[in-house]
Amino acid sequence: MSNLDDLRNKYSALSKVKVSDGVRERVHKIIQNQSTAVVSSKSKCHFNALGTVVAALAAVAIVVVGFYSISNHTSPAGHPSSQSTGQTAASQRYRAQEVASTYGIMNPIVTTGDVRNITIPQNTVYIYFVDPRYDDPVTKATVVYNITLLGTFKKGDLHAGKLTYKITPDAKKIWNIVGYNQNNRIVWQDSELKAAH
Amino acid sequence: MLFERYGDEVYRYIRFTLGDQTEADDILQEVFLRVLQSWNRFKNKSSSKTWLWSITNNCMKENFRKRKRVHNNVALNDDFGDDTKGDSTLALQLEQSLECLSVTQRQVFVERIIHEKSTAETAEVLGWSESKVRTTLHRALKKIQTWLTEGRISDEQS
Repeated sequence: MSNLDDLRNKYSALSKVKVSDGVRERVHKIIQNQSTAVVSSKSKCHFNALGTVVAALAAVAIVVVGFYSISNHTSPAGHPSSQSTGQTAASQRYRAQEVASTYGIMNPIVTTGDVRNITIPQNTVYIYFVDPRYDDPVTKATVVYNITLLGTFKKGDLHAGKLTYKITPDAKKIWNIVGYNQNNRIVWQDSELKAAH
Repeated sequence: MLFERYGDEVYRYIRFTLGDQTEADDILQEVFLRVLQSWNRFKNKSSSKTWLWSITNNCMKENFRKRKRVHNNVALNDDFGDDTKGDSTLALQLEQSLECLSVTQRQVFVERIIHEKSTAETAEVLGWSESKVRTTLHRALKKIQTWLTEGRISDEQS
């Protein structure tokens, strides 16, 4: 038996290590839920096909928050890119409101400086910041937002209750935050948020 | 589905490279989230497995950058799943042995030894040349052999 075979034999116990059932379930739900959230943002062209397919299957709680403000522009209606993207921004806002109202979230549109409380249901939750400029061929590459979580939330928190957040303009690349709550555990998908918390 | 097919393999790759189970859990889900998000951009220029590994490597690189330190600490616990319950002590020691390796050595060790991939397959998924795989593995094996000969794994277990 060669040295390599000998080592492979010795380390075979590690080759049996698998994803735990809890994590497996979590990944499945994230995949399913992300697919569903995608549907709420149909203007994101790279999600379209998959989102459409999964749309019929998904039955999860989603909060969609339309996010239309940046830097000096605090009014969604006054945002130049909202104007430039026209129907896209309007349809996204409509979709955000529609989905949010389905889950009892009133007034889902947020603007810079907003402080909001969102009650997170016990099960899966998405907070989805839709950037209307995504499809804007001129500005899509420079989406700059920062979101500050107020309170004691951090990655891995045991949590069920309210998420408070504040939106501030900043030269960070956050445009999409996904909060996922399973077994009362919040997992922040956004890397910047992870780093901050 | 990629997760069903490669989920365990990706998980082992992340876990034994990073040496941290909790982090591996988080990165694993991030990997598959990105797979989903970028699926329509997958051009079939490479195999789906190679593509998956490139996403995995990117996620791990980001993780390293954020932590601004190389993981040399192995957070161990005895959660080795049902298949290895009888060997959990040995598995713990084996995982611990990877501490002596650098990150790149762990990457190649996991692929070549634990996943029993060929040099060519390993080079493909890691995006390395075959000679780099061979050299890195050679160094890794020397370290591991030293670790093993120091008797840190008892003979009866191994």
